[in-house]
Amino acid sequence: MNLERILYVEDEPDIQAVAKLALEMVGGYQVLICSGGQDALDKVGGFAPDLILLDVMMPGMDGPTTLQKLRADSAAGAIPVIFLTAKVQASEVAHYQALGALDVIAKPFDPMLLAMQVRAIWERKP
Amino acid sequence: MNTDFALLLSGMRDDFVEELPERCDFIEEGVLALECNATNALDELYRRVHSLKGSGGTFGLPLVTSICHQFESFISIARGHFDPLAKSNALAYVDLLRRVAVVSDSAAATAIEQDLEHLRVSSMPGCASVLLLEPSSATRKFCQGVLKPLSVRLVSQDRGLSALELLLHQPFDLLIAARELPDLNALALVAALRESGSRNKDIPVILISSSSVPVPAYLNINATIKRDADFVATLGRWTGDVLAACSN
Repeated sequence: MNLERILYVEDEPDIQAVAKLALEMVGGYQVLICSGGQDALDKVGGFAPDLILLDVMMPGMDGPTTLQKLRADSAAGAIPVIFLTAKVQASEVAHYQALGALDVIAKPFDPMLLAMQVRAIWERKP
Repeated sequence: MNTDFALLLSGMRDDFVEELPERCDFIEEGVLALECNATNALDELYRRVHSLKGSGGTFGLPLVTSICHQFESFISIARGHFDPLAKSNALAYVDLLRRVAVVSDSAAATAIEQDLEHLRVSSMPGCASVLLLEPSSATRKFCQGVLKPLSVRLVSQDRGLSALELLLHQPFDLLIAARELPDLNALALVAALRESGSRNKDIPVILISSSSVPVPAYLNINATIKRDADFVATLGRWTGDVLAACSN
């Protein structure tokens, strides 16, 4: 399966803008930005992404809670999710993977490398 | 396409720096709102600083990230007793952020880093920053228990490379490190740090190791603690001694 459509869930407008451009211009992906967990739950069905990038720390519904709700959704439950967070110690990454995340990308990310990081994780998924 | 994006990113970064004074005004409003005891004002101030930190990191502006990171720590510590002195210190952090917008050369950036360090000491007196570098979660918990009564700001890491990255960009008063670590062992890390131009290059180091292999003297390790029955007591004693020496 090719990676074409990415849903990016992030509350910070600057990071939203940079990530969208990076994924579109460098990676060539179609990207839909959601500003929070509920926004993502509302839009995931209509956009039908191949992959979801999910910020961990967000006001309101945080990343892990959003993932839990996505997993409970029969339509979106199987979509792979990558967390983005500043907390990337081995134990923290293991925790996020145990929650069901495919992998974790460290924040702040390098905008020039973001698309490549996403591609690398996608290509090694089971 | 990468070139186009690089140009666009450069323009966005310039816009961010140009708009930085406005963002500082927004944070300053958050500081002033604390005077009115507005509900959740401190949380809102923290959120604004955290937001700026995220943007600064994304645009590759480590000065913004460093100032905001320390500002966040200050807000966390000041929680519950935000007096006029705390307000003055908070405004000093905002002023440092304003200066980033007009940084013209590396000397100006270095001056801001030095003032940030002075502000750390003056705004959080007696609150030492300790980096605990230990891959075992069980040992980390023991160490956290030892350090809790000392009222230090504790940052934990479990990998050598990520710890080195932190040490090169954030001020710490003490490094407590296990000798063997994933991806970069503690001796290599300390050697790299001692050779760096980082503000932490002379940081005291307590090594956790049961190895009988001697540690090179040039690394200036302050103490080596074995993982034995006296581990907790020895760590507490050495940490107290080293931090007391730092504050004198």
